[in-house]
Amino acid sequence: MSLDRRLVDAIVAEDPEQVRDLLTAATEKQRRAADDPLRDELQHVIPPRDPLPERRRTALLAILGTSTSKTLRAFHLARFGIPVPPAVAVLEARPAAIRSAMLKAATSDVLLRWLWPVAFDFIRRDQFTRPDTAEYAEGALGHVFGVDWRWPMDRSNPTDEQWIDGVRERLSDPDLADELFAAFRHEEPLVGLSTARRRPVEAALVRAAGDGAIQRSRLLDECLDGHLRDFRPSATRMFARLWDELAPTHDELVARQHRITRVGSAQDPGAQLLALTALGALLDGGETVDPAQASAVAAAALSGTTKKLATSALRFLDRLATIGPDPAVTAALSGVGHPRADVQEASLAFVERNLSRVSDPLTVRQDVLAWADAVEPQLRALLDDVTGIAATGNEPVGPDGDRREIARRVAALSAPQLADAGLHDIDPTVPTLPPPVTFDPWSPPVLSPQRATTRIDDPAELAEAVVAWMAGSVDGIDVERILDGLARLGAASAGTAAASAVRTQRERLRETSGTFADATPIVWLADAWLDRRPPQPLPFVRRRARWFGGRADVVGDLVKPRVPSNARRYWLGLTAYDGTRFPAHPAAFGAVRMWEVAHHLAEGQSRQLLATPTHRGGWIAPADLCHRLEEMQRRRLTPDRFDAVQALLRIAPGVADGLGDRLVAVGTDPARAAASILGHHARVRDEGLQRAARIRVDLGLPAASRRPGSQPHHAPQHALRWPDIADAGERRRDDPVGILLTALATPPDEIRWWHDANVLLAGADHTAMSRATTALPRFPDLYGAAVATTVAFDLGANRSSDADHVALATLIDPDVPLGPGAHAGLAIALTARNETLATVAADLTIAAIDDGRLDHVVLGELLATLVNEGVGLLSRPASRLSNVAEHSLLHADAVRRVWMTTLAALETLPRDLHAPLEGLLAAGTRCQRGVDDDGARSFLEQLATGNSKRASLARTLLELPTVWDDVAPELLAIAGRLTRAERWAAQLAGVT
Amino acid sequence: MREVTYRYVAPSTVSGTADERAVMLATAGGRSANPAFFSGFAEQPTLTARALLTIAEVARTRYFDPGAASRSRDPVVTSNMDVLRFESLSACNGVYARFDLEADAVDGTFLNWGTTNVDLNNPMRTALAGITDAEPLRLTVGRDELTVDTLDGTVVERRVPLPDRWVRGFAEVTVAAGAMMPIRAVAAGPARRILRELPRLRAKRPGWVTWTPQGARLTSTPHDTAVFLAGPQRLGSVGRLIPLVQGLRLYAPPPAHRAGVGGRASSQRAAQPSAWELVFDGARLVLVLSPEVYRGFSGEGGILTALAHTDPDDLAAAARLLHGQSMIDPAPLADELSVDPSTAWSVFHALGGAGRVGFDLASGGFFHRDLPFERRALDELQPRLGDARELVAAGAVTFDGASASVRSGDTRYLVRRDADVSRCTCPWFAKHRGERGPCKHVIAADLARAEVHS
Repeated sequence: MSLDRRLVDAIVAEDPEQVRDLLTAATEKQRRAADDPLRDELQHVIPPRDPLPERRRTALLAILGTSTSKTLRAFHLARFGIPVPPAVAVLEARPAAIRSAMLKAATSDVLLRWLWPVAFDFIRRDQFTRPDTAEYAEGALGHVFGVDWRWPMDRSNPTDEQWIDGVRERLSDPDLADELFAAFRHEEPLVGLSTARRRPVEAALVRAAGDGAIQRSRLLDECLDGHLRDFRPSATRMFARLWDELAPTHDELVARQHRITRVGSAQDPGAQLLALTALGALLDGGETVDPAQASAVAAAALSGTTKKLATSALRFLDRLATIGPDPAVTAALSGVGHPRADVQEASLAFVERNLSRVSDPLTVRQDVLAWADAVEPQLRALLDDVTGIAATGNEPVGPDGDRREIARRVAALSAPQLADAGLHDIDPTVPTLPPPVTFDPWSPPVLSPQRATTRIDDPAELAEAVVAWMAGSVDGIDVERILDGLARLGAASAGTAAASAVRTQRERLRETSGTFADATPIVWLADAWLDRRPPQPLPFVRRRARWFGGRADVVGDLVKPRVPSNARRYWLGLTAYDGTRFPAHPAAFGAVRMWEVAHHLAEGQSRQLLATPTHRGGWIAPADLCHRLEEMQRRRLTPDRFDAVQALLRIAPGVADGLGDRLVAVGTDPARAAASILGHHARVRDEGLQRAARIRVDLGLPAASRRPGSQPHHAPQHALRWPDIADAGERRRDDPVGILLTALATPPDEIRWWHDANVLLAGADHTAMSRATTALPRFPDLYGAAVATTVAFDLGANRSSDADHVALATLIDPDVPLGPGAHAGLAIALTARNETLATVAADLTIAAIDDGRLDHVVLGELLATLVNEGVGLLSRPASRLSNVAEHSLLHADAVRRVWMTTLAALETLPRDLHAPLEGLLAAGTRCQRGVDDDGARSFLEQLATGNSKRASLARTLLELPTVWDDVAPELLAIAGRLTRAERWAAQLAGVT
Repeated sequence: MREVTYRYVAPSTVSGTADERAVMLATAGGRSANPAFFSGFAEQPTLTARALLTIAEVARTRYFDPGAASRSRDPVVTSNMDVLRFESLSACNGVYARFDLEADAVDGTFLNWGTTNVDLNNPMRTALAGITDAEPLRLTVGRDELTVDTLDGTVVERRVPLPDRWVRGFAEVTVAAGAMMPIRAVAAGPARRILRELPRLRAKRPGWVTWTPQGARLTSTPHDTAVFLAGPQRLGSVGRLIPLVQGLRLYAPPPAHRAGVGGRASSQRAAQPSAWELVFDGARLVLVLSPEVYRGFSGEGGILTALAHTDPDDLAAAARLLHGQSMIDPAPLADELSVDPSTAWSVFHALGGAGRVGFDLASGGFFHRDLPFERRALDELQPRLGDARELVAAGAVTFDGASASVRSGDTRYLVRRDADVSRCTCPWFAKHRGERGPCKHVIAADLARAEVHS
């Protein structure tokens, strides 16, 4: 019988000794010849899903005897280890070169970690050189703590007690204990050990130390030395835990006092806490502690960001101040610059308490002043007390804040201009905070020359832009410009040198994107442009089918009241696109327009698209659209259906005399639809165009007569009332958060928008979303609502999409009004865990306060509603709004108002209530305004009893004075609105 | 990939008694096998030790894709006879750190000028972590020959892969720093707060650091006084120095360069490098961060234009002027080089790209620093430039008025000038819009045009 067959029999019999004997008796040639057949046989005798631990261990032994170091790593039976003595014998029987290679691999290759005990056997007998590497150390730890410690779910795993006994038993081998301590000198293995909380590693070591298997003193020293190796905290965390579990005695602490002090100056918060606790215990035990060195430990702890650590440090300094006030006070100065206001306050209070004890109070005061810039505003009084120098008042408001200057600027504007900026009744001599600015999306000079887009006229520029699009580095308006350029220049430029680059990039895109749906329409265009190949019916947008599910969404709903019954089949790719159905997603809507352009390119036809925006934001000047329609009619070209629909959705207000008549005279359906949008009676036959025209009217685009800025117009804010929210909740009980936000973002009679807003962002990337924001310039509020509905479903998730950022960032533009949907998006983004989204939200808040678009009542109520519904935290928006409040006095005042509204609307007392209270205190102190909202005062009065931190804060807030003779925030608010009015006036001057 | 072999006569050590600590930094390579640069005392032991630890940490860290295996290269130390400069570049090529210890901050003798590798091994790091101001710190950079002779001959030798891109990245930092201007100086209090808070931000996307009365915050909107920052966690390396910081100076490219030279889409921001200079008494530590966490300095291509247009003779002449200076202002040297002042700057930028000088943001000038690695020809270090020269040599460039057509493989790319910026139809330009230097087609067109003109 061949060796491999006999080995298989021994494996099935689970007899490692027999395997050993077979292998040691065989020649190397026989062993190598058995390798491949053995592996094949093992597939039959060891089923993949059957654990069979003993059989696997025996098989591993056989493989060790037949394979080389290279083939060994491909064998995945290592989970249950290998019987060591037979394995040593088998390896000793192998030729020296193979043995050496295997041992080298065993101590360096993570896949051969199971062979580490065998290598260790050779090392301890001096038959192999011990490598001092992280990989070897990792193997040592793996062996000491059991090879299965990373696989806790395995049913064959022992219980914790059994596992601890196993560790203790292994550590009773002094050589292995030495290996353990040697492994502690390597950073990477320690990271794995410190983060492995699946097994009580520290308990096992403490038990081993208790039993004398390892020396307790050595373990204690290692805990300290581990922190002194400049390893990252994730590697040393275990040492702090181990130190706590070892609970060193007084004598043990005394013996290590010097080292403990050194540990305290390490960067690791765990080490600092360890040192503070140990030094505190030494002080309690009556030991002498060097105040200078101990203070350095406290200073390091106060230099971190953790409140718990800083508080411990200050408590420690309190004790230290009795024996060494000078270094203690110097150390406390580090806490004055701590990010948390309460730590700053405690540190300043400590300095103030101990100022009389120090030898040179003047120097200390000067040192405190060096930190003054970092101190929170509400602590300025305390800072003044410590330094003895009165703080300066509010920062100068600047020329914009000067009353006479404001009066001059007000006088230079017309009444409608002032009204558009929300300054109808402003009296500069008695400045008061004006109400939030509301305006319609077309109130800004959307057609001003400064906002005009340029078109592509050069084939080289067109090629460069197409390649950039393929590389994903264009935005929405660029895509429209490229489509327009292709439609106009594509037919004539396909053979130019410039197009050659597009051809190469197209092939790359095909290779890299595979079936990626978003690339498909671009490839359509490139194929049609370069090769005159018509776009093929393709099963695209598969992944969107998941959420589509046959339901209506934004543009589909806009252009057609019902979704075709076979829409689901179409989006699943089961039905080819035939160019007549309506798309159901903005991105898909855009793709279908690309499909139309591709058809013309394939036919070699050039044309001007109707829907190309003439101005930023996606607007089309009506006169330009009229000209395009006339030109198309002159060339006897039929407008594309979706091009026309998109054009109608983008028509800007502002009508030249006779434009309606000209459009009616063109006679085509799109022209008549455009005329009807601009106020002319015209019969439109196409259902989609009819619908688009209706949408414009339904959404409130006024009739043609109004020119932008020509009359004051204030869009009504949709009232955000709880009954509406509750009503919405009634309709969809299964999705309260979504409904809540929908209701907040949606007029009650258009409740379907919530779903539309949600799907708007699904799956959209930066370019698609950026393009989608230009698809319907009439309703920017939708994008805020979209953010609200997509992010709100999981506020705790630290993720956000490009689409969320683009949608929210669209609202930063000062000429985009903020409606209820936008405020909802803002509130949600301020509350979201994701820092990037929150950064955009903070930017939006700052921008919206700057020019008066932010309605602090709406935002404040939204934040309260989120808390009342149990879905939002206050600490997150508090942190973000504190950044906002630092921006200027106006921003501080706005944040103050937001928090007052929130407090008044709270129905519960959340755990993190201190966060808005601190935020309100900081903002109020900064702008010198107290709590002047009745609801907020009432809330605070209820809170102000007792000794809790929040009660103390409430009392401070109630006593916060208002300096009424300082109208800086009000002046800044008016100045911000004036800046908008002046900008609009200047831009309107250029509108024809 | 080449390898570098660090051959130290003995490992770096920290030794001494309770009354005095002695840091002996072993050196390898440079103008001699194991040069000696300094012997004396560091006036601020804690600062010196922590700064060295920071340099070592940057050298061994991969800030991008931290799980990927990599071998760290040893830091280098330069002696300019009045300042010791310790430099390192992260394994990912995206973070550069330099600690400048000026003559005021040391009490001792500068023995020689030059640049060498320095050994900061694990036991050394452990020892450095325990150094405090309580005891004086004797600092020795390199052993003098007498000491070397008395050693037992235990040579520490380590072979580490030395990718071209890492060497190129080291050199490219000089160019990136040379294009920066001071943006903001922050006092000690806010500086410490900024350095504490920014690294804790878990922002997954880059942003702009803007200033508040108490410190700074990250914003999504650029403006002239903001500094672009990608991967704030990369600033975490300086954590151990925060309690000692006396001020912070921020540097970034001038606002005019911020929109991206190629006209990036309006809604997308141009990523940029930034420099964070921590100021101490008599010392500075500079961190230069690449524009994105995933972008190493090696691919930035900032040096390519200067290299392409620099006359090799000028380069050689400028190199002959180098003799360990701590501050080199190229403008006054223009006469010696027989070029105009702007060309002199360009020549020194090219020298920076070759790893022969560094740039000191604080003084606004170059300093002599020959990277202690075997230097290949510039073209080999800069593959884009080499490719461009091959295209020119192959006659792939043809001109049609102001535009150039560059044939590369089967594809013709069109290079045209638009408002003093060369644009190309290749994917590289489409993707980066000139933010990572010119593509090889643009360089080839420029080289061919220069040939035509000459």
